[in-house]
Amino acid sequence: MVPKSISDLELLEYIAGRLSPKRTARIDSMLAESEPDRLRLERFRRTWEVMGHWDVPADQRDVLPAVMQRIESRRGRGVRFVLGWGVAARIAAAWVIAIASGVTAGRAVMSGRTSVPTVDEAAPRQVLDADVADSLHLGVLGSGGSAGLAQSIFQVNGQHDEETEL
Amino acid sequence: MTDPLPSDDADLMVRTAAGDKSAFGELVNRHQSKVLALAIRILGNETEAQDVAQDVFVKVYRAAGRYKPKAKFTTWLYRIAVNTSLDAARKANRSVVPLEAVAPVSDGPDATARLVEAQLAARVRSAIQQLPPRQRTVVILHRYQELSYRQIAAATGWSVSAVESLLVRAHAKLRDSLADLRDP
Repeated sequence: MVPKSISDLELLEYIAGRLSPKRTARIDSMLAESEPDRLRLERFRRTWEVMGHWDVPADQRDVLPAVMQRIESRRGRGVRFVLGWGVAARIAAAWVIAIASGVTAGRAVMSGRTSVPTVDEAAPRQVLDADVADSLHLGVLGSGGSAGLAQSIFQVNGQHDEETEL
Repeated sequence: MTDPLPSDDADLMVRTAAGDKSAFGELVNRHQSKVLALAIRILGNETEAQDVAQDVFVKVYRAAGRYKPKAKFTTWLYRIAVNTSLDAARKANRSVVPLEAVAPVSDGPDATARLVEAQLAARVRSAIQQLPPRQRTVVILHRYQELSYRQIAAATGWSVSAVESLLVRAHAKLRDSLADLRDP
């Protein structure tokens, strides 16, 4: 039976020392039995070591002062209302529902499915209910309801006063 | 009475969310060199990397109220750092970073050794910068930030199989481009 080869990824993790002790021991025994795997390991290891020559400079500036300055300067600009995506989505949805409702209602009215109260010119004018007229003490003024009151206010010598016409 | 244990990162984030700036300062001090090193390697430019590192910590501060310690803080931090670095690289519209000139090495007994070291570093840097962004990112996280491939998957949000594939392909390319340096 041909022994299973060690994967490239496992060799990398083995070189990096990130395998469990149990798995490391297993890889050790597989390497001992397979020269091709040992050669592959060696090529990975040399590349790994060469990569170690790329050092990032140690004298790095402390970013904290600049970070705090940016945070503070943002605060100093006053309250800025920033919508999160969730809130923005809810507001947008509310607008869509409102517009859709308006469009639907408008179409319903235009198609005649609902009716809007209209003024029937032939119907007798309705005067104030007697109870209302009483509550306003219109009887004291000698007028028969609001129509009579209006007439008595705006008529001068029986003529309609156009200047006071509302 | 024993000294209190140093606060862990999750504690510091909770305190930061409550407005404790000293806790935030502690977080920055603990992690800034890692974040800066990552950004420098991804971007290949120290000035841009400083800006990115600042962006990362400003984002951390602003997100403190939403942070939930379900995963390790460093995993979350790396996610922000990687995304911010890759965004900056995209904005700079640079897929290949020009090789910086090797800094002149002053004379001295070990000048030759330092020059050789500087040239090696430049070659490695160039080889890694030549990789496509995602391969470059996983190599940097694996080799220099010392994350396992599963930790890299968690930090980047990429699948484990994607990370495995990226890492293996990146190392195959690096083996070829650095062959003259690795072979005795």
